Amino acid sequence: MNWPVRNQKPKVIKLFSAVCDLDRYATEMEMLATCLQSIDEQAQLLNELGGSPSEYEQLRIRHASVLRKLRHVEIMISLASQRLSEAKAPVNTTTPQLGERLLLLVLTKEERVNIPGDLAEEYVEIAEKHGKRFAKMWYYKQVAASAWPLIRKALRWGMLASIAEWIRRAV
Amino acid sequence: MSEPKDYLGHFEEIVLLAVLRLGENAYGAKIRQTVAEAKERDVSIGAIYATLDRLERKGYLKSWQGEATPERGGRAKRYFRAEGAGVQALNETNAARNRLANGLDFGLACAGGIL
Repeated sequence: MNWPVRNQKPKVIKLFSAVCDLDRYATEMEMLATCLQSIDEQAQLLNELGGSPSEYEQLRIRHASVLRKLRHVEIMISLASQRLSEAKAPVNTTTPQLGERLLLLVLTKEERVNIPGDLAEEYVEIAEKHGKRFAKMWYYKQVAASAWPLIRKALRWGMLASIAEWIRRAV
Repeated sequence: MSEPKDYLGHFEEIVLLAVLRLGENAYGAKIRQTVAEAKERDVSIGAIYATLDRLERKGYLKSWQGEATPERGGRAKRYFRAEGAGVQALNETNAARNRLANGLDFGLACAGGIL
């Protein structure tokens, strides 16, 4: 007969430590796992002695509360694992395309490597910390706030370069 | 008379201090974060680069291209280092400010002037 809690203790401990680092549940989990081991041992004994279905049923009824707890723990572990995998899922590091295109419009050739790179680096950090939506808003805000200083700089140095060129030709 | 001194603007001073504070890790994103933390408000990367560019043209900073990383979309970093002239300009600006502020009590001056 296939006994449901067979060798559950290592599995429960492993799963629990993988999804939960809260010490306050550790004692309860250890107790539950010990109960399961005890049931498991009884089931193994029944297997060795060739227990009848009714004996298995009696064992199941005797430990119904522990088995119920195990079911709850399995559900909890399943939910926690799901959340953990969602949290660990890599954030899409692609910066907003429109924002980047707008930014490239105001950048010089040399700046087209460094500035979008710096924003992309911070975008990933912010997306991981505050979510993609917040990171997107931050990115567009950066693009909007960066436009004027960069245009002014380009105009200033562009104008000075023109004057320098004019003087050079005149001399 | 001694040769004319070049004083730094407020934002230039902060950016140059951020570069000095970051040392070997001074590149755009980190400089922007350091300045934003110091000013306790968000600062645009454009304003940072415009200032860095100005400081480099004045000879206060030196920059070079660094490595590219995957989180930057394979784009290279541009590192900055403060030059001796930049440190001297910082000292001179600081000294000028101290000379002006010396002996002034901002709290009393404010209260006397407004109230």
